Amino acid sequence: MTERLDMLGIGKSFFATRALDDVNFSCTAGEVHALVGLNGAGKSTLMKILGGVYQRDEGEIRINNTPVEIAAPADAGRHGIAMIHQELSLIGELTVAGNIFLGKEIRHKGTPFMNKAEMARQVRAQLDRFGLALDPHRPVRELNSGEKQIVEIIRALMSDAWLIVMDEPTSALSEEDKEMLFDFIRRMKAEGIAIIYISHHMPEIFGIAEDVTVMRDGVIVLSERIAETSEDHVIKSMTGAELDQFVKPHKQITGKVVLSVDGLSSPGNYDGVTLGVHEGEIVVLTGLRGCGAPELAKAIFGLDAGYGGEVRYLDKTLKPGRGPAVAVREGMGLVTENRDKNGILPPLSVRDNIALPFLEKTLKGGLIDGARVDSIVAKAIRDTSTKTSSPDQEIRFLSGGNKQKICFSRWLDEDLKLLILLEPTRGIDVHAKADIYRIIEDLAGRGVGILILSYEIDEVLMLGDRVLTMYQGATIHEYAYPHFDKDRMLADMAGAGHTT
Amino acid sequence: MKLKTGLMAATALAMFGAPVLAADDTLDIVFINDGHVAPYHVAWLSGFEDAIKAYDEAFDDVKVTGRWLSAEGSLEKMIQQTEVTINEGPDVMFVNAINVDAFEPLVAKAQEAGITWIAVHSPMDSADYSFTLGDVVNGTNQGLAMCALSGGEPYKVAIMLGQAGNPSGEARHEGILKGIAACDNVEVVAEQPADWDTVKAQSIAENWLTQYPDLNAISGVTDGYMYPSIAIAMNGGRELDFYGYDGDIPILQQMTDGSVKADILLSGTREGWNFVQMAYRIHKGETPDKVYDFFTPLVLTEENHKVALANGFPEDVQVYYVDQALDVAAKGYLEFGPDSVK
Amino acid sequence: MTTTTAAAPPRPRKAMDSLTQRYLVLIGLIVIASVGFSIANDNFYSLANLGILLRSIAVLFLVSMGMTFIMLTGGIDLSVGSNVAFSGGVGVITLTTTGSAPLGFAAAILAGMAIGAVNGVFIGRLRLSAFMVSLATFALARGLALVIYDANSINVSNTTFLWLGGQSWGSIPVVIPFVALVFVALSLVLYRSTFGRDVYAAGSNINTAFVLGRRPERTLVWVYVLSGALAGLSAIITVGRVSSGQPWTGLYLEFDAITAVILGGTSLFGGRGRLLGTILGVLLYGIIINGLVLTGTNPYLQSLIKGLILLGVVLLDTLVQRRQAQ
Repeated sequence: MTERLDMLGIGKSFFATRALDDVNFSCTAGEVHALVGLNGAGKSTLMKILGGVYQRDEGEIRINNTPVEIAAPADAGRHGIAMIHQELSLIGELTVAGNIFLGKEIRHKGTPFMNKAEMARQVRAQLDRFGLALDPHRPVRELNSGEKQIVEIIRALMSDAWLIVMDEPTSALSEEDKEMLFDFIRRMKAEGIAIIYISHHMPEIFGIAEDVTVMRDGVIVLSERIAETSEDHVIKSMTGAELDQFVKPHKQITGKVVLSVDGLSSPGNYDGVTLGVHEGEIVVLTGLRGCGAPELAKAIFGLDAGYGGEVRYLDKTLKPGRGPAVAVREGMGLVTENRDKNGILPPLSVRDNIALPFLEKTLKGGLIDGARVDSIVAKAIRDTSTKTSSPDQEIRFLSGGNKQKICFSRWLDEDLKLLILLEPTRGIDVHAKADIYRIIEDLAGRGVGILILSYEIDEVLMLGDRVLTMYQGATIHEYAYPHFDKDRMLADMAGAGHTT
Repeated sequence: MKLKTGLMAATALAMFGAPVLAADDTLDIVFINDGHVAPYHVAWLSGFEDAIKAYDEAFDDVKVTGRWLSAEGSLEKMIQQTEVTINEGPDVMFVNAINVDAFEPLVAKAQEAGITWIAVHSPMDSADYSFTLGDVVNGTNQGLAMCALSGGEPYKVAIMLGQAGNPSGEARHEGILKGIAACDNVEVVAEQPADWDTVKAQSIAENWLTQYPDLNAISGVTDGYMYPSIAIAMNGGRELDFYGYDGDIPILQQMTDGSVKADILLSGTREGWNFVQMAYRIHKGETPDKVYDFFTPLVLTEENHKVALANGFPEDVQVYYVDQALDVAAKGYLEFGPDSVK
Repeated sequence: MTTTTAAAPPRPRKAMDSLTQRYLVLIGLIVIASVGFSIANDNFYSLANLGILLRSIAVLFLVSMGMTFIMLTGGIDLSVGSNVAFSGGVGVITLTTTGSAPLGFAAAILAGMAIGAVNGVFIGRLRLSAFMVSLATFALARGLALVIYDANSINVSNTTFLWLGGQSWGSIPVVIPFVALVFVALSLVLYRSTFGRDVYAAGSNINTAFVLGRRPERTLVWVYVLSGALAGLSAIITVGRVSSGQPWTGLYLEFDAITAVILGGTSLFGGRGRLLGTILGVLLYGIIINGLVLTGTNPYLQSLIKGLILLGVVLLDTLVQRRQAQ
């Protein structure tokens, strides 16, 4: 029997805000249905209603034409609906099999002891079915994000899920892991599993989905078979307008050297790296995950556990193990790759999140001058076109793109000399992306030196004045704008021609 | 609004619900204690409550009321409770001060307000009266009994003390040592404070039994220590003698044919009754001794008393036999009830 | 997102943040409790009783304000009660040996800060759990107090030393305006100084605070030192109140303080809360204790009532927040 889900005429309001209005959404076993839309378009709300986290105000949910009630996440599970979350819910200390059988362990007959061999056997059978090479006995903490995602999906499948909801599954994956995941998705389709796939990435969607539904402002604006639409059409439906393309302005780098790094080494992370950043220059480090570039960038900022070699910043030598406070005081800023871990202060207001690094500059008679803080914060919000109801809003209620803008805006102060950005557009939508590229160029135009780590080759090519490829902790080649060679860069990252 | 009216009704009930007697003379007694959960305290406070009720019923001309408060070991709390109580203006206050010096200003304040202040256990010069236990004398009696019943052979004893710095505990300790000094065969092999805590007493007793395989007796400054000590010795198959202090009924019951050789008959129940009797007597114009000693006989079995006397135990020490002790400990009114003052 | 502008007027509930809501609940409870107790006992509203009430919670005010700073960083300080005993001991012994009240004050506050510094260095610098470290100093400071006092109390008659804790102007104890002064000073520190902002930042996300160059490890040290200094100040007030130094003073004070701070809406996980909430929490707590004594409530019931109130307020709060999140 072909399983089928229909969500009909779904409506939901939060106080005065209409989050969903008359939304119809269906999916069928054996197909991938892509759900796209900018942040705040209503995708998450719709999926949370499907997952039993929220209750709908209007409408009906049917499975195989029978109306069902999903009042709690457990109900969703009972109907065979599984949500694979961005924040993975696995226990690091348990093995793959242990996680999959958590709460429903198989025991040796008549004893309280677990039958680990049997559990591992069943997990292996499932993994084999989908052509996945993963050891059921490995502890989950040793797995990378792609493998963890697979464990979550297998767990869902073994609980008889027929519908899998994947929310931005590739946002933290390397290229190889993405391929592995897509392969897995194709096999699931073949096994008759239905998949709802939430993503911003057009190539992914057009690579694996059968259907695409676009949401904007709480309503469905497009719902088509993939074969009958185009990337352009989908993007236009998402934004409601022609996407304002970011175009890199032309410029000459003539300024002084802000940062020079000489022979920087840390065993296991990076080795003998030498680079320099001039005023107004955008230098991009790129490579595959694990190439050592983030560790290098953090060490320059002062997040390190010691290194060899020298970091000179504004003609001063910065010592290893000093902590970031020294760099911050001298006008260096960092936007980390993991907002939630060390980028934002969740319970605090937008104002507090922005103002923190430069509080000392607002002091009047030893006390913080509230009016001064307010004007700086207002300017920062304006300059980055951050969407927030007020500076008093708690930052945790903002969307990912707006959180990221705040992580930027706290450094946009006139004393900034060098800004280090780690994966600046990770997990944010196309609109916010364009805004962030524009902020970066504006800063460079003001004479701020910028060092970026990015894994997205298109972004690297678009932003860089100079690009350094890295492989296994060493820089391979340096490319200067406009002499970029995409194929050679990709080959550098993959270690082609590199002898170890 | 519903809540508020409910609250009003409840409080009105609390105020006027008690039977209103035609008596125009009133006696309001407040007892502020340092604790309310130890077995002795429980007996003490319930004796106090029962006595208030009995006196109120027995005398038609006086309406006797009273209540007790517990500071739960906190000096600051006790001071606050005392301040509030003085502000309320009862007739008599019994205060078992955690530290007497801290209460000097409050005694003056209470007396200014016309309240009779009775210092409990630790005497105060400024107080109208002090209700004391004769801890040193009682301790000495316990020590003397130990000497007289040890049989002349070398006799090893371990003593469990009160909380460091507590005057009552230290006085009892001093007395016990004084009593033991009367003979030279009793040797104190260990001393340790158990902070009036039964659980601590248990682990101390366990340690002692392991550490001293030839221990003959455990002595304590409260019966609270005896419960775990007796149990542990029994479980370990050890025959030890126990010397208690307090007159807790379950301990007294273990004296006939049991391992408890002697106890001091304070008995919380008796003390609670004695408070009310004393307050009533003062109210009626009597003047007890300024330092009033609670009558606390030593408890022995009749045979043991004879043995002790034969071994030179002083004849002038007041001794109750077990049955008599049990009787008065259970029924505080026998000694201190309304009949004792009629 | 679109908003329907036509029909529904914006609901006021949405505009009120959860802390304001908590304060209104507390004020409501304070009013209900005072009305109830004043019906039960005429004495409740007497000036003398108000003086007694406020004096009895003066120390709790100070210690709880320090605890608020600590809980805003996501920490906890179990050692404050013991620290009051220890720093009081150091102060009283300095006073009796030198005869100088100012030296005694300084010694008490420095001793309190010293215990705070031990907490701070272990918790902030060495990143040990606040619960573990302060549990250790809870025992350590009490032990030190017993040692330096030799387990006995020491009488104090120096009027200067006793002034702060013992003196009253009519029915108003001197210590009340003093506490108000400390409240104003600490409010300035918390809301208008960079240190105060760093306290919130450290409690919100210590990793972010570190990355932003705010040196949260230092902030933590100073927060515990501040709590220690307030314990020292509390020790001076306690000595004044009982005109003697006591080795067993401040028993269970930390639990009362934690209760009051939680009642006041400060999050156990840090980053959220205000001093005003703590003040209301202490007031409610003080009124209940005072009222229970005045109404002669059975002491066996008192603990139960305290527990129920705490549980009730926390429950109410959680329910309200859940409904808002939906």
